[in-house]
Amino acid sequence: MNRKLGLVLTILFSVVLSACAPKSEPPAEPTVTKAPEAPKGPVYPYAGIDLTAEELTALGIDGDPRDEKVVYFEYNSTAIDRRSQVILQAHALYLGKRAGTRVSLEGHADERGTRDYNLALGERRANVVAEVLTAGGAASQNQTISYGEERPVDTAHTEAAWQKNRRVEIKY
Amino acid sequence: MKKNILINILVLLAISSAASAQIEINIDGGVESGMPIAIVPFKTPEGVELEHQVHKIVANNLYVTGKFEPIPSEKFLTLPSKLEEVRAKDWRLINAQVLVFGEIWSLGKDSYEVIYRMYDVARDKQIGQTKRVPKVRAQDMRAVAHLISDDVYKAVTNGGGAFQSKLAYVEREQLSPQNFRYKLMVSDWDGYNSVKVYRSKYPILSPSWAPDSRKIAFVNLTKKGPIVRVVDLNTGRARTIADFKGVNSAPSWSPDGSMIAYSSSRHGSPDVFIYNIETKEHQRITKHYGIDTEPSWGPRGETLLFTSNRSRKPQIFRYSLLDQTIERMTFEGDENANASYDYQGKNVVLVHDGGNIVLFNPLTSEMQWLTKAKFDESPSFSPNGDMVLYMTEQGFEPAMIVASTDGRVRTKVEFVRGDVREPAWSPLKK
Repeated sequence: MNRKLGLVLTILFSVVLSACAPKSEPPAEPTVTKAPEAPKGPVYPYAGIDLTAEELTALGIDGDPRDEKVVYFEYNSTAIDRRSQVILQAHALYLGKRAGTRVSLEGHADERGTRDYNLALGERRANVVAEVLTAGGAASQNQTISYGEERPVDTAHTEAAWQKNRRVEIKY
Repeated sequence: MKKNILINILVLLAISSAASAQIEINIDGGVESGMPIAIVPFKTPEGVELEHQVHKIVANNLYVTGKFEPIPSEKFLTLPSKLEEVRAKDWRLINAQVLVFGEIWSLGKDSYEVIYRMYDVARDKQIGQTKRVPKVRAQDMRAVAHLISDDVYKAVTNGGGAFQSKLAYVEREQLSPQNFRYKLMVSDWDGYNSVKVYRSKYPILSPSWAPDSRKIAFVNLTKKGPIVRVVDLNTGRARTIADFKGVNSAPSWSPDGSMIAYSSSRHGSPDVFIYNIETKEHQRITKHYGIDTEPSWGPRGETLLFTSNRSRKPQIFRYSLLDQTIERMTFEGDENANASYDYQGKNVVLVHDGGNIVLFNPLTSEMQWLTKAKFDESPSFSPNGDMVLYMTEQGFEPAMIVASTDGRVRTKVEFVRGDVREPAWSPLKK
């Protein structure tokens, strides 16, 4: 029941997020036709991702969102932020056309909190990512695994390090 | 495994048949410092130098409990080894309340006998009987010292000592930048005599002792995820008890040894399960969409504490096996996790707000801070409940600490080195 609710919420959340995304507005009819190559509207460099290069950069995504293989989380949270949403959307679009691709989703936590709790938290994050990918149309075979806090990318005791460690790695 | 780490073949014999008397010294709560005690260097056979000095080990052991204040041996006016050599006034002068002294006899090649006595200075008479530990090898002198420490502890406090118990912990060895080896280790309580009992290239965590100290349950990450395994310390053999889909973790052995509680997410979210060792059946205990993990048995096996984020942030809950009710235990602070009872059920130790070790009174809900560091973790009680073992960090290195529960004495576990984590104190030797 509640897992389904969670899934529905996740999907709703993604719908709300995409609704928030800047839409292409029809350019006002130019009264003076002098500049023929005036922009016709925002340019979306990546198919299926309604964001301009500048908007992607603002989210910390330089280049193709599908080249980003890691999504990050807040402390003790499994919420998918805007950046992750865009990245997962790109992966879901790609995977949607490649049914049966095996995807490994590795969930991690930062060192705060106990090791066993973090194993559970890492799994939750991987599961949420799997649900978003599936909801986004990925027909892949997702395998989730949790490493808890056991495999940090940065071992420093700083917020910057923790931020890098609270992650799900997408591998296929 | 060639080395039997569990059975110390030491026999304690009482020579005199006089009725043993408990010393009546009140060391109950509120003491500013421990009881002054003098451990006299044991007289050794002519020309024999023993690697392990019994009196030093005993003095260190007693100090760590927070209940004793061993007097430095430089202050001793005399060094008796026999009863007739004791002059009470020599010890009153340096404020010693109890005296421990003895001698070591050579019985032949690498075979010794240790004789020791305790003495009540105020009453000017021997406490209990004269004790004899026969047929000891030089390398066993540490074990003898631990035995004597337990004996002194019992005579003075009337409680069981913890010095013959063991520690389990995980040691990580770095083979190359991205390549590690994890070893489950067992050692004496002070870290000496460490022996590897299991090894893996994947992380090992959460060791939990069987009540007979002969097996350890633990978590081993694998390619497919974390699984719960049990290793037999006598045979070195390991078997898997939970490798279901998802995360299997946080094993805790029941006090009667018949069950292991653990957490498994095989139905979607982590719930508490109980594995029955005899029937091999797994019983689901909690059903909640939140994270339920770190189950830990109450001392009589009728309750399970566990960590759950069902109230958003991790807090401690208590499940009753008698009426299947769940009750929230902790309300103070943002997070409380990894709780465990002492063996008497009086106190709970837990990790508070991510890195303080806190004693929690299950009746009054009162919290008492043992540490206020940021990253302390993995607390476990000594088998007599007097001390707490936990991990901290000292100068960017992991350090295993034993603290007296009154927080007065804190010592680094002397012989543990390297990248260690996840310590767990064994039950009392049976």
